[in-house]
Amino acid sequence: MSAAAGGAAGATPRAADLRAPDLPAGPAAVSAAAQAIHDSAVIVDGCSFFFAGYGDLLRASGLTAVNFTVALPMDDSLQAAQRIKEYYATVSRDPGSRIVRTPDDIRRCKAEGTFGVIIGCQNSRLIGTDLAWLEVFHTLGLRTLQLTYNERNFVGDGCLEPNDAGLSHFGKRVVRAANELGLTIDLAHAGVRTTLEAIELSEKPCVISHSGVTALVPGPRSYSDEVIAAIAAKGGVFGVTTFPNCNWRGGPTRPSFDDYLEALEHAIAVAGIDHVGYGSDYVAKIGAYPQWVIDYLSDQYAPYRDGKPSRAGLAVVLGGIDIHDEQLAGFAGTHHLPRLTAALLERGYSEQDVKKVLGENFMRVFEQTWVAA
Amino acid sequence: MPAEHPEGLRRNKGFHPILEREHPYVFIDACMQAWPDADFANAHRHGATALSVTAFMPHDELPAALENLMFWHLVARKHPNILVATKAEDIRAAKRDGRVAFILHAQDGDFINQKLHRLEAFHRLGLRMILFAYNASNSMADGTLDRTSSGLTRFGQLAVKECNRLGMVIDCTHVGKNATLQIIDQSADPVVFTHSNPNAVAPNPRNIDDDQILACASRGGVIALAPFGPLVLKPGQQTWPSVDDFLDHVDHVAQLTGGTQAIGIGTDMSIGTYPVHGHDPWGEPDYPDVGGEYARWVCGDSRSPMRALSDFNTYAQVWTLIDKLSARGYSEADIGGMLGENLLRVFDAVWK
Repeated sequence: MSAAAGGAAGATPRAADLRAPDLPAGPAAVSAAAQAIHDSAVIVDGCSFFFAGYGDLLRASGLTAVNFTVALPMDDSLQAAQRIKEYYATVSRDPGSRIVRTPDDIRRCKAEGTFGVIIGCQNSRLIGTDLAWLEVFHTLGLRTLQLTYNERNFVGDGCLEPNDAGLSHFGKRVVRAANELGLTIDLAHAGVRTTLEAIELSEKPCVISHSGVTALVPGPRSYSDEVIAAIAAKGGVFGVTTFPNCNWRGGPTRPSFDDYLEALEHAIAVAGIDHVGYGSDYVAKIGAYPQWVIDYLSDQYAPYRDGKPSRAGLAVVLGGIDIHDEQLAGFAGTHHLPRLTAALLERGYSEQDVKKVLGENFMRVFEQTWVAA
Repeated sequence: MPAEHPEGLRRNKGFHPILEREHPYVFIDACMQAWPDADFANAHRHGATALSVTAFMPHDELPAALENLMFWHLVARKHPNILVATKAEDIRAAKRDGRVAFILHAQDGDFINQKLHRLEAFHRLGLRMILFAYNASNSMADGTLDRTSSGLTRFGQLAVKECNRLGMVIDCTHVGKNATLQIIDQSADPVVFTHSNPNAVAPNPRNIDDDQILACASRGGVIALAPFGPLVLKPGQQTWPSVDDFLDHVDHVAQLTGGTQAIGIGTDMSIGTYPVHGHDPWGEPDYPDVGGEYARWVCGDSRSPMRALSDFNTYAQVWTLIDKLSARGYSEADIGGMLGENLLRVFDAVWK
């Protein structure tokens, strides 16, 4: 994180210099007006991972804070604690970043030009069956809790399960405890019934930090307009992901940035401008996805291979797209984020509305949820 | 004979005269608990040939499950009267040799944590029976007391196949109804309920319906009925249930299935001191009421012998069960089947 640490102050790399080699020349460059708005916005990515892979790309992205998947989906309690420790170690070596515990911490990051690390997780498996762990992890800095990851756990169903039975009794207690402790409940990767029951039960807004919209691209990881509207109705945020498979219309064509914008605008039409955010569900740059994690996830899905040599389970999740490859055609990664600001402005959104989508909507939910009841 | 032993008592014998009585049956207790302070040196004198010991606590994660499982091997190594059974023949040999066999039994699948190979690892370590979800829903199946009742998860379906491949008996007790029916249907091997009673006699969220009993029996499985007070207590009953009450459950299943070949016994009793649980899965406030009526009329202390039957609350009283079965007209072959031979049939078929 040396570059993000501000060691090269004054020599901020422009996004265009960092583009992937197969991109057409200069797509990341945006107008000075758009860049100025981008630079003044609090920008929150609802879901990304591997902070250590951000490197030089962070400044180009303009990100203020990222909800990192610190604890990996299948981590147990001790593994999760270990991963949180590693983030503390990374941040301690990097004066340009800080672990944020309050929305004010994120505002402070914006004011002082540092980068906020939100400790999140994509599975409640890390608390096992013991609610006491939730308080421990909250104390360690955990601020977002995704209830399930694809499969059933003690709390509820994941989106890849054949059944969709909703929250368990324990799951209901977890929702209440998250409300009380001050954690944002994240319903990405959950079964529909689990999602709707959690929204209904939660006394505070919930988020879906990173997902697609089934109205445009059907898929188990995406959500219907009904769910998007339910999230919005309780004041939450639906984070639309740039992740390729959630924007993939099928066929041999890589989904484009325009496809993503269409999904984003669909979500805005359903939920309203106050309830949509950006949740990349992607690493900072191509190749940053460490092989060991791919192996790790592949191992988790090994039971689903059913004798087939391919990563059958991953193919379900990834829509058949190689995770090593780039994101959207024309949008190589997080460092192209200024293009999102420019595109929304071009489509007629006001500066204020653009900033809501870039981060203020997530900030509002953090302000409402990161407080003890 | 050392002088300090009173006349008529032999060394290491005679601590309970009833336990000296031999009976001809292989008695397999399909579900019980043993705790570290149990009198393991005399465990072979309890009238039971095989004790299906709950090898670790429900909801234990892998490290605790592993340590606790290995404890039973340590006990067996220290006590020549005890062996760990991995084949049906081990249990028959235990009867011949006057020893007692532990069957290592998991009352939860939480420790598997979506790693299928852990089933093989634990099978290699001697685990021979497993139930997938203890009351609470997990990543394999619904628990019978949870609010979800969807059936087996994708992983749970793979786990059934893996148990079949390994030769692990699947136990359906504590598991949600839909999941039990799916397990029975999908399993190539017969499956068992280790401690459940018919709802038709004693409606209880922990008991099972006639269609579950029939499905299990039709595939050659065994329903080990539980002489466990809260599951025996009949509607309106305000007295400590006895073996006679329990035999009404036996009669119901015998009549329903047309014989005794699908019946076993799983006491859910303890040897040694039942611990105070910091987290008692029976006591979750959200669960449907399993023991409320029992606590009201008989006993609410989960550590009390009064949780078992008035005349069968220690192994020494297994004779009461045998005598009363006989008095109800069950033949010696029926009694032998219900006490253990039926389960041995399943173990013969599954523990390849």
